[in-house]
Amino acid sequence: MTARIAASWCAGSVLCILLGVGVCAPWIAPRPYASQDRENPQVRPSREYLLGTDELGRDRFSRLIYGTRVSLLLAPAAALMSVAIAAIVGGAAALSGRWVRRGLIAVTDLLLALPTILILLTVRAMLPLNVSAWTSIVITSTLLGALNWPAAARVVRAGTESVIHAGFVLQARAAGVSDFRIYIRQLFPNLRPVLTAQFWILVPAFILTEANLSLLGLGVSEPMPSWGNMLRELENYSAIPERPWVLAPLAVLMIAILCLYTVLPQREET
Amino acid sequence: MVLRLAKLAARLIATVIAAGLLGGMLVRFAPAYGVSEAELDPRFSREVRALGAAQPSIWEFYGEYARGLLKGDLGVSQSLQRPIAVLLRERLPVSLRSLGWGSAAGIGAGLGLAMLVITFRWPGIGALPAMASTVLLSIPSAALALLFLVVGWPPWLALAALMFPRVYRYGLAVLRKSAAAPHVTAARARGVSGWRILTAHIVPVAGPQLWAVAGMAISIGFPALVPIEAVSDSPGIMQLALNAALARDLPLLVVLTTVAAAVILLGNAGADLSAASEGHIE
Repeated sequence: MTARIAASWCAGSVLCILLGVGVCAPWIAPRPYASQDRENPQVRPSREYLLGTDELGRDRFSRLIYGTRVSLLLAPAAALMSVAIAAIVGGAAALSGRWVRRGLIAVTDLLLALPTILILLTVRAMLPLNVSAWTSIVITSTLLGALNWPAAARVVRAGTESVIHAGFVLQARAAGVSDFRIYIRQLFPNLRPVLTAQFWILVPAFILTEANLSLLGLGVSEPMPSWGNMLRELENYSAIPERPWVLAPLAVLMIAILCLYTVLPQREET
Repeated sequence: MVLRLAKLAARLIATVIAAGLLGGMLVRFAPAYGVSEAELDPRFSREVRALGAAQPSIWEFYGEYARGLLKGDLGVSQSLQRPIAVLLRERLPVSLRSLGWGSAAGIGAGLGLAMLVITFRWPGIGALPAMASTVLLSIPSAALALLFLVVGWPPWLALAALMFPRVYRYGLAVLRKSAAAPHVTAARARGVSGWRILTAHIVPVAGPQLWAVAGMAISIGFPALVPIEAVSDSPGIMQLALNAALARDLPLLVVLTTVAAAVILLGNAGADLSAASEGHIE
């Protein structure tokens, strides 16, 4: 147990460092993420360029730092949105009358049946091609959040139903308190651990989904870097043995996900 | 039981139809529907979109599609100018083969290792599979497919690697729960061999839940084929789906969304039925 707590603290510290690096990217990164050194494309790592440069002569290390900011802020924002929708839909499904409840459950089941990655790719591909980088971040984050709430909503509904017949809720109902007020004042505090667990489950999932989308060219738009779109360099896979440092974004992404999975059980238990 | 199955089938069909409609609606009402990739000039895009407004609405399209479906006609792909039924006939077997091999390998490895860990309770035996599953869980599926492509392994193996950690973790949890039962402890105390305990006391109890893994694997594995087939250039329907999305091919996307939803729902229904047969869910 002590080793697990120590690992959890270690993972939490690494995540804090990564988050700090991401937030402070403009001050830490040696160069702006879009600045190109046309004289030096695809150079090897050196004191000047710690991870070398990409094919446009952009400093890979600086882009990795900025990419950390995008990936680590986009996923929690999307997870927050998903959890908020799940709290509303799951709570409403548990508290509403028969038909509204059935309707909400049907919508949840329907969205669970949809291949989310396909819908994400489709909707993202349907957006105008000339969207700005920041718009693409907002769109990707919103799509992730808006399409991935059903599983969390099911858990929230089950959680709400498990406490809905508790004495304090019955007393509140008997006192004439409205369902909305009961949900906000009585049920929501009891659901907070469930919602927190769902949030921490969704964050690594969204980081991976964004990476998949970006790797397929439909995530965060260039020139803004994210871990996912930096992985597009791997498409030239025959060059990986010669330039193994292009795997750096994958390594950082994996470290972040491993840390999140290490922190996750501790959070779920609390 | 028959009534329950009929209800389930009716619900599945209704959900598949609704999923196809929803997928089509998302495409039809997306801001750049009907805009060509070459037309980045916003004024020109507006003109093209105005022309696009003359195209049939999603309801008209879906009505026509449903009428065609009743006659066995799935329509024609706008981007490839080929009948969708022919495209499905060519590409669905590739995806199903990948899914079959990938699921078999992923489930086999995951459950096999979980059973080994439960049977031989040597200290540290679970460390390697646990580490492998954690590492595999932290790699994006597209990157995993790319790495497998680099070493020359087939795409279905990437799918197996993607399924393995989920199956292993779930399987281990289910088997651990069964292994903690008092009759298993009593059998161990009487010196019954590990294999005998596994086959006679643990697996029969956990069986239905383990069967549910197969359904779960399909619902996880089929969508994961999108990045895997796209990256490894495997000519399955998920690669076709990505190409259809990029080409904004509404008829093809609606059919592929419907097919994907049907496969996922069948997987979920299989998992639900396995669990329900043991009374785990109603």
